[in-house]
Amino acid sequence: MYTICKHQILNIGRECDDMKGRLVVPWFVALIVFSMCAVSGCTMLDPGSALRVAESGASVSNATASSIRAIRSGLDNYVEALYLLNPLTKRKLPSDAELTSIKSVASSLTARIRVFHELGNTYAAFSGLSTHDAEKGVRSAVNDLTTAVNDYAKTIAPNSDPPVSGLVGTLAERGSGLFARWYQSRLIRNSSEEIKTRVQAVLDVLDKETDRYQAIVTAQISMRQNTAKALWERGLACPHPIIRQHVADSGLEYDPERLLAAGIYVCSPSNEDWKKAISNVLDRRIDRRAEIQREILASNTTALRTLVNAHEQLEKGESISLENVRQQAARLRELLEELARLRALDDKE
Amino acid sequence: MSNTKPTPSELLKGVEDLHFFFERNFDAIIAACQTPQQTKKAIELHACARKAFWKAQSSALQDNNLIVAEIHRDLKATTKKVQAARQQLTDIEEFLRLATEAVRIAGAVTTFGAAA
Repeated sequence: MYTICKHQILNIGRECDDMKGRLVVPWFVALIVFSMCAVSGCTMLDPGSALRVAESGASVSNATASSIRAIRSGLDNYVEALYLLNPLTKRKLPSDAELTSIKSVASSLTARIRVFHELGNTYAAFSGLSTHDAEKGVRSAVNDLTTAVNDYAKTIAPNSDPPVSGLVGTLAERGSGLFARWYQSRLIRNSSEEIKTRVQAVLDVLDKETDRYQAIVTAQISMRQNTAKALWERGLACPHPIIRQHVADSGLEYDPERLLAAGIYVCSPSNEDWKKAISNVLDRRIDRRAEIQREILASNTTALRTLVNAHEQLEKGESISLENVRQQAARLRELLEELARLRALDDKE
Repeated sequence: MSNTKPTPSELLKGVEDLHFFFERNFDAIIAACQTPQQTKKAIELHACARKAFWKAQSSALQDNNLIVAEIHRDLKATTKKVQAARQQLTDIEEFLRLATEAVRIAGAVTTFGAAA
């Protein structure tokens, strides 16, 4: 396309010579645009819609990369917990073969994170293509060219009217604007098709692997639960934050030091009911976290699927509804915030 | 008894369920053991189930590793293509600017030619 455009524009000079300055630029530009549109049956794509798809794509890619990164980094904690639990609970230390498998899982997850990171880069590039004001740029350059052609004509016949009149100049603007829009539209469509194919491939892998991620997350969560319980049952972890949270805003006061002075050992689960009560809360939090992780993984695949549909709509020139993607992104944000809140509670504990 | 072979996915699920069962009930199983031999056996079984679980996860993810590597390479190439597409838009502007300059110079040359 670029070559044709270049040759055609170079021909302007020759026509100019032949016609002694009676050049009509807009016919040429309009002719290219309309003949190409007629041949390809193209629909002008809206760069604004492409930008919305690009923004949603970047957001989904980053969210998915984050959720896999969280699973990946959870593996380090998992292995550490195995060493911690060995002397406390009689669980065996991991064998070399087991550590090799965990390491291999970690490196596979890193490869998936890289894929989503790259997908984010692809959408960033796509966004650049959509935000580029091709029409303005090309129009300004063609206007400069028009002025130059008129100046050139003056040097040949100083007293004649400018060959590219005001009216024709306006048409030239329209023609060049149309040409730029058509060209940009074509580039957006081609890029969208390329990206869509890759998103579909990523989605196929994610679909196959979601159960694996879920199993790994469940193993990690269950290990955290066992570690927390083992530490609590041995009096090595205190449930102060849990109690404080439930007492807050009730008008009651929780003061562990006063309780200790009164001979009440909150950190020691000597009382069976007390032990059960805290274990229940720990179980509940762990279950909730597993549920959130499951929802996050499901949201990732749903959002990617919606993205593929958005690409299809964009390529057909249809109006794009990204409501689903937006909803998924909003839900993902909520879930990640809740997960962060639960993690913060754990860290305090 | 059914002769249907379990699918790879069912096998994986079986390995996972076994590991989670041992993990969830480890303390209770150990507490139920009455002899040191039984305890030792229970600890061994728990460790074997855990090892099998990680082996299964590792193999399942590795099955797709080549595809993932290919997608990554593909995506990198796509990113470059999209960046190049944007460059093409800029190139047209640049070309038209150069063409403008060329026409201006042609005009100046003609003027000098007429004056000479």
